Amino acid sequence: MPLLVKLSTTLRGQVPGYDPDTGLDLAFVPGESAQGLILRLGLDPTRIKIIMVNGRSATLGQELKDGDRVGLFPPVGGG
Amino acid sequence: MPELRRLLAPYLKQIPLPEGEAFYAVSLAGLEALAAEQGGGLKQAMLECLDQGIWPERFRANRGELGAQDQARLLNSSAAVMGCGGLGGLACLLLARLGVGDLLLVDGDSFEESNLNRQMLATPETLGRPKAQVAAQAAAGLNPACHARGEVAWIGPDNLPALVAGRQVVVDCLDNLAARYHLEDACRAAGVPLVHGALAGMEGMVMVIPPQGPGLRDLHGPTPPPKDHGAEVLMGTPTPTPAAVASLEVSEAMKLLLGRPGLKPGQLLHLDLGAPSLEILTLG
Repeated sequence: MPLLVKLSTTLRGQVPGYDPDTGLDLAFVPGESAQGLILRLGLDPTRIKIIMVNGRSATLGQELKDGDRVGLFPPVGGG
Repeated sequence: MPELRRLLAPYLKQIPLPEGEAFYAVSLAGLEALAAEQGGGLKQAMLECLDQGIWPERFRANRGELGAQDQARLLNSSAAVMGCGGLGGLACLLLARLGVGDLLLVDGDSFEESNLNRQMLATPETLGRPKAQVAAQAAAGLNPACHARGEVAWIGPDNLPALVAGRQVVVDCLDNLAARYHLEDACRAAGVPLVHGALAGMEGMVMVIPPQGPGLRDLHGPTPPPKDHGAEVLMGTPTPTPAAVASLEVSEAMKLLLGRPGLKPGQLLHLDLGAPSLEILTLG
């Protein structure tokens, strides 16, 4: 099963062809961390503050599993 | 009870319910007459009526979801709204309409033209005026039983302890994470629960931060990200999003004040008006 990646706000425009409706299906790479996935997407890990794996917060170092749903969020502070 | 009902008779309306039930509602004129008769204020008159199950007309439509005791509890509650812009402008109006009896509204800024797209209290007439002062006038104007005080000040570690002390809930309606971290620290130190809300573009986040429990550092790291890293810098703060997030914040604040279950510690409510979707994410 592929990974399902959902991007928030500014990150969407940084991944060509990203469709907010469906998210992004990416091939699962055994042993890859959340940081590895972020780099594979061409995103800057220092600009991503919230990583959610299957609805639960995770660290950059967390190893991903086949079929994981990954949500990536930049800092959000507006009012 | 019959005595109170006799006194208020000219001002009472019987409101029918299904199954032949009914309840009484009293007009503002009746509450003012009661306050004059008893020498107490409007809030006291409302509390006395609610104690007898008589609903002030202004709160009548809260009935059902709220009981008379809940409404009385809100009237006896105090809240602070930090920031009176996009989130806070609506939050303070909603809290006043909800009937929270004591509101402290804090903002150091004044209204400017670029606020008009989303900030409920920004109008051509209020441009240039301090947001906190406008907010206090609006809240007190909406509900004369609400004691609303505006504090025209930029918040920081020096003035926050006094601003949050004694509040039953604080609503975070600030516009940058550095200030939000200071606010969280002050609320933790004072033992006051904080309702956090933030937004960028069509997305928003709401979290209830109890004095002990996960908070902004679990979300954004040990130090606040620089302001220009916030997604709102690029995505803006378009019209619908602050209203939706402020409404969710007030709903959580209301549940805290009433002792009802709401968002649990460590739960992050993520709203995407674009999709649209609303999901609960879990920290830790």
